[in-house]
Amino acid sequence: MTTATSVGIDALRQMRTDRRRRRVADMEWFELLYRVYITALIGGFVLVWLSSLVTDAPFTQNQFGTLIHEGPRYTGLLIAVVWFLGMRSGANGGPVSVEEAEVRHVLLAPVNRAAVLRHPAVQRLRTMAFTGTLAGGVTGLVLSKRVPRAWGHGPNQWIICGALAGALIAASFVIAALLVHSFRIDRRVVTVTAVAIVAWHAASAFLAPHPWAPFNELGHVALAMVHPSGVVAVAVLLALAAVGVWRAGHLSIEALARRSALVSQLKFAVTLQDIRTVVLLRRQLSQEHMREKPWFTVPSALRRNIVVTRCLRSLAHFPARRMARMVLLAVTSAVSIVAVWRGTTPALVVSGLALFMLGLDVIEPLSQEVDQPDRTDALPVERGLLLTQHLLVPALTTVPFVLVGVAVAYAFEPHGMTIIAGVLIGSPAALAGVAGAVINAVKGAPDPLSEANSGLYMPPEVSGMTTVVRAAWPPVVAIIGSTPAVALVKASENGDNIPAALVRTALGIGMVCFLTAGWVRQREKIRAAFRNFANPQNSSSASTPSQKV
Amino acid sequence: MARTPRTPRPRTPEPEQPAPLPPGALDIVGIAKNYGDAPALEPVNLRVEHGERVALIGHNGSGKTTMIRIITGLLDATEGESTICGHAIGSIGARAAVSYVADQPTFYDDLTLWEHLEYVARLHGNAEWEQQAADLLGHLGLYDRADDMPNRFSRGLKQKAALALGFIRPFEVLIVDEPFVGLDSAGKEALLELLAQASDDGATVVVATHELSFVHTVSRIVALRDGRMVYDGPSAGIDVDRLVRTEDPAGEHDGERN
Repeated sequence: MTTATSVGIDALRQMRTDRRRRRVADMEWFELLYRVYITALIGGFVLVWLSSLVTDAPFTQNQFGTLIHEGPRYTGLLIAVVWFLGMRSGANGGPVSVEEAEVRHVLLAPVNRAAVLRHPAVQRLRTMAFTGTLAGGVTGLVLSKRVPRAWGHGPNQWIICGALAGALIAASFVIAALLVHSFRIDRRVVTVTAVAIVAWHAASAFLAPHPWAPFNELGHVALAMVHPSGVVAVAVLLALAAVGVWRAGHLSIEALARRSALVSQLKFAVTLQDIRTVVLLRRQLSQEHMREKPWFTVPSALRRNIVVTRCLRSLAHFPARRMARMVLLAVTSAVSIVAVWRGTTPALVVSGLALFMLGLDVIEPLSQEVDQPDRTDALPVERGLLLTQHLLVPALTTVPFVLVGVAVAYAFEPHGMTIIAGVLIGSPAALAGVAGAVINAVKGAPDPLSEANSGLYMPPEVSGMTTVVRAAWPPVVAIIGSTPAVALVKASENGDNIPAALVRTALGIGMVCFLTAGWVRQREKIRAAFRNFANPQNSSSASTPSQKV
Repeated sequence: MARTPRTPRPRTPEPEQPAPLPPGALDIVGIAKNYGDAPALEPVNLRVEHGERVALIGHNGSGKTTMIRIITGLLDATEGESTICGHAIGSIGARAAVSYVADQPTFYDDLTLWEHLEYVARLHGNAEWEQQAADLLGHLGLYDRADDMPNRFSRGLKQKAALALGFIRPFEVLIVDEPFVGLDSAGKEALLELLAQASDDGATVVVATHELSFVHTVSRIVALRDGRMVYDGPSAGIDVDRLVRTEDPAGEHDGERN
């Protein structure tokens, strides 16, 4: 048996080496370099754009003192949330995924599974740490713009510490998932423990006398403070990473088999920038199924309109974890808007993205309709009208989340004006999040084989930019929705009437949402008109499903 | 009243403990699988002896594939234990003993059929694989496709390639899930010959199928319905279609409502 096992390991190593060599030989180097060039171009553009947003005044000595004093606790809370997500991922079978064939042919062979699985575990850890390094470095760069050099913290120090903290935070996700998965900890125990960890750090961050919490020690690293306890915390985290990788052989084959098929589809969907498919696959990966028993039955008074009934029934089947995630996204958005109010303008990007993700969940009934074009085309109802009717319930569903956001904002800024500003900022921001999600859902995934895809005939740079703009537009709409927070800051600085300023910007955002609804209603007619204009010969034959009706 | 002394009862001799059975090819004790509240497989007990040929039958969704996947270690049982040739499921010993051919063939994107065969054979320590691979491919009519990518094959050819991978490695227990689906008549014949050869070589063969040409060659049938084992017995005189629909495989209670 031992001989067979060692022979198997040798075969595994040799085959991996051969496949890697073949991949390198088959690689289209020009295409790879072009991708690097495009990524660097876009990444650089985004970085410059983000940096240009930070025109805020430098920190006062008092603000800087608050940052240094409270920052580790907030960073500790962030790490606790990342651990929460990692632990949940581990309980759902994450974070490692291998090829389907690898599960079938290698993991069922008499080969030491640890030897097979440590490699992908380390790869996952490395990728996440690298991503975290980039994100942390950018955050450090943004932060350095507000800290005067005279206080002994130069930009390099902020960037290096931000990158290090980013790597540790991102790696935490994989470490937590590996530990939970490899020790096969029961999902309920995981949820309770993860919630307890987050609650502990939330208490440490917000409640006096701010009790000690373990991840706060890592938070010191992010703020360029060298503490012996911080060094110990980093060492403990690295030791946990080693344990997680060492136990990779204990990962569940059932989970790996389930994920292997989904992850390859997920990668393909990401390549196509098909956010809807990504959302659906993510739900399958985390085994997030709709409730069979609804939370509520739709009252008869609301059943007059079948589309409203259908939307409410969909919401009634939402699983509890999805609703918890939606609340968490609303909280994230509120905290980000408070950060904008306190002077960190780029936080509005976080708020917009959180509300975009919230919108993707809220518009589930609409997305289901878009997913089933054959079904909707078979209905004796104009498609645009049908989809427009699906907007009402998602728009109203944002109300409780706006209230959650206002409550969170009030916890940070306990003034009467917070409630007024919260409603006037939160409502349009949430609606814009929904509008962004609606645009994403209705425009659908790009169809590379479509004749209408004129990108095929464009130069690569133009085609690439068109793709990027097409993919980025929905989240950008959501981010625009959070700009009333900037109006609040400006009105406060200029001594203007705050509610009036907020109403003005809210009306602007409302107009964007209204135009989005109009686009959904008239989209097919607009597309048909555009096609006819571009190619008059087809004008007689081309007709939309709506026109057929 | 004086109590009459009781005459001591003669002691009944302790019943002799039966000697523990030597491990069978497959010993399943109460394995079950639930997905949340939904049971996919209710507790099943099954012992398959070395060298036995068993047909596992049942309609769609009856739990055949779930049971097979638990036995092969691809699914974790919610409860129960099972062993293969005395080795716990999922252990290296069990993996060395069992060869599993799944209902959905899976291949690497970047390996030819020949390279797949080499890889799987060598993973199992089979150094003398080349002649065996050539014979297998010849038998299945795939010799000319050895240098092609199996991922691009048609459904039937993929099935044949998966069978070749199942047979290229040494095994004591062969478990095959719906192997006849997609095969042409020549392929079915070749597969029946391979299964017969495996049995002749002393391997235990368990096949989930409705293919009568195979079911008629086995000595034992195990039938599942709605996640429950409803029949485990000889195949002689059994109407297979009837077996998966009713609990009265021999038709002794015709006319009675179940």
